[in-house]
Parts: sequence; structure tokens; C-alpha cells
Amino acid sequence: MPSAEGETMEQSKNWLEYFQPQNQVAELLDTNEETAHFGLTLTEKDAQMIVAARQNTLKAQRRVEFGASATERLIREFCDSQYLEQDCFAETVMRLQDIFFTFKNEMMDLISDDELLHFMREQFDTVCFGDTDYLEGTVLPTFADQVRGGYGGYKSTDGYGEYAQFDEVKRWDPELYRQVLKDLAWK
Amino acid sequence: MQYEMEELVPIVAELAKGYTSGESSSVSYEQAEQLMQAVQYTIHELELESASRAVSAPVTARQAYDAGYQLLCDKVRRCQAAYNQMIPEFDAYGNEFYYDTVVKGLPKFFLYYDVRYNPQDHLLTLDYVTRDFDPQLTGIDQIEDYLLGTVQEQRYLKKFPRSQVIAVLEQWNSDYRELPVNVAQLMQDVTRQRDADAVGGRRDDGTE
Repeated sequence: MPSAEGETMEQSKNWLEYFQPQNQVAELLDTNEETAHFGLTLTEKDAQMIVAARQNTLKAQRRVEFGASATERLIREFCDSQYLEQDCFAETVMRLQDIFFTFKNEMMDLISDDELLHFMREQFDTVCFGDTDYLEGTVLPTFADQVRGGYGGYKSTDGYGEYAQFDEVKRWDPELYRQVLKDLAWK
Repeated sequence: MQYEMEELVPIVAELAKGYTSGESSSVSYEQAEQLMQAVQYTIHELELESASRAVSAPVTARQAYDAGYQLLCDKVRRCQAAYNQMIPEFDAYGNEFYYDTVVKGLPKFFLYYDVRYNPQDHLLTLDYVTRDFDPQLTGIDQIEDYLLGTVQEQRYLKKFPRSQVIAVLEQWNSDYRELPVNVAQLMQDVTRQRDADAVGGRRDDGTE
């Protein structure tokens, strides 16, 4: 929508670019204070790559950030995961960032940033065993279906403990393990 | 009042934060554009007010937005009051479109109109069109204009006995109740034609 007479829609589309926050690289580097405790740090080059990747993802997903970026919170959310390693830290952050914005759209903005981050982190560490492809290709689409269908239980749990009820894969059953062990040991 | 994007974007960002209740740091392009339209519509409200008073005090975009928002709220309140005053005596003369739009539709507007995040959307399709309907108007401006038109039309129609209005409508088309016809316009057309015929000396049978 043009704001000045004679301004075309193409020119006015660029107004979305005014949303680009300042000091993006510096804010990412600030997260090193916390992540360093877990052996993870970003170099300036890493931070620049993450910022560039974020811009590409936001453009691809047709989203615009208007405040403090979710990426810093994503880093803080995942930094103590056993599946994050220094040699692929930046790459994993970019991957998770891409997944985050994709599924904000897939869930039609029904889920808050924190709820989605909590869900992603929990499933990344448990069901996915650190596999971002499984997180993106199986776990999140299954959950997104439920959210789009009207499920809202995550609001009361803040995104925690939500996947098991929708998981279609039979996974590790502690009770079954104990029973089999008992049967074997007492035979 | 022309404002640069650097002045408008912070207001849009603030609206986005409020719209998401602070729970999301990003919105879709479509949502951002809707919020930008909301800001521009609100500032335009101040421009209209300033134009009518021939006042053009320089203000910042933020001041213009805040003042425009108050004007919008005031306008909604005035329209609600005007509607409440009109509705007890409102008569749709049996026309379903007239009834559905004014009696059923307009209360829903006042219930759901979003003066902060989507003031440019007047929500209703306004199937019953008033005589001076302006399709270019949007939001509360459209509803205000529509209400004014409805009040004027009702005032005009009340000059005639109800039975006469019904008779004219039925003579025009016995199915008028289910047609999107403007009752006042029809009444005016028929009245004018009869007056013209009377002046011309033509009788109903077509002879002079």
C-alpha cells in the first residue's frame, strides 16, 4: 500500500525492509556468555552467516520480525542439549531457525514463540535424538496438524509433554521392559 | 500529512507486539500489511478532521496516530448512539435485505469492529444499498455514512402512511420483500412519476 502519491505497490513493498533490526550480529554474539558454559560459541563469521540465513528464511516464509529476534531465544533454549556440538553449532542453529519460522507459518501463528521453542527442544532431545530432519519431517508436521485442527493443550503446558499423545510410532515402553526383564530373570 | 516509513514502521511494530500479545517476535507479511493499513487509516482520520476544521498543525506520526485513534473511538461511539436512537422506530417495510442489514448486521459490526488492529475493515457486506452509497469508503467511515443514509431514508419514508409504502412496493413487484431494492429510492421514483403525471394531466389510463 503506497504511503505517498504516485508510489507504486512495488516501491511500497520495500517498507517491510524497514523492519530489519539493528545490531543483529552483536546480539547473537552476546549469547556466547551463556552458551560458552556448554562448550559452544559463535564467531563473528558464524553470527553473520546466521543473520544472513535468517533474512533468507524470513523472506522465503514471508514473515517479518518486529522485535528482538527469536534466534537468540532459540540459541538459549537449545544450548544445553547433549546433541549440540561446537563443530556444527552454527549450522544447527541455522537449521533450527529455518524450522522454527517454517512451523510458525504451518501452525498459522496459533502457537507462541516460547511454546514452539519448548516443543522443539524437548522433541529434539528425546524422540529425535538430535536429528533435525526427523524433527522437521515427522514430529513437527504431526503436531502442526493437531494445532491447525484446533488442538490447544500446549497453551497450558507451554509446549512441554505434548507429542506422546499424537505419536504414531511405538517407542520405548518402560513397563514392557520391566516385565520382559522379570520374565527372563525369574525363569 | 505525509510521513516517512521510518516514522510509521515503529508504530506498526508496536501494533504487532500488541496484536500478538507479546508472544511472537514475527508476523506474516499479510498481517504486517494489515497493521500498516491500520496505522495509515487511523492517521487519515486525523487528516479528515484537520481538513474539515481547516487546521494543519504539524505533528509527528506518533501524535497523528494517537489523535486519529481517539477520533476513531469517538466516531464509533457516536455511530453506536445514532444506531441506538434510530433502531426502535426502524421499519424495513417487509424487505428482508433491509431488515437483515440494519437489524441483524449492524449490531455485529459494533460487536466485532477492531478499531485498533483493523479499523479499515467494516466487516459487513451491506447487501442493502442506501441511496447515496459510496463504495470507496471503508471501516467506520463507511458505517457512519451508511447510518446517516439510513436515518435520512427512514425520515423520508415516515412521511407516508406505512400502508401506502407497502402498496407502492407491492405494485412495483409483489416479490419486493426478497429483492435487494432500495425502498426509499423506489418510493421517491414512484412519487416523482405520479407528480409528473399529475402536472402533465395524464390519467392513469394513459389518456390526457
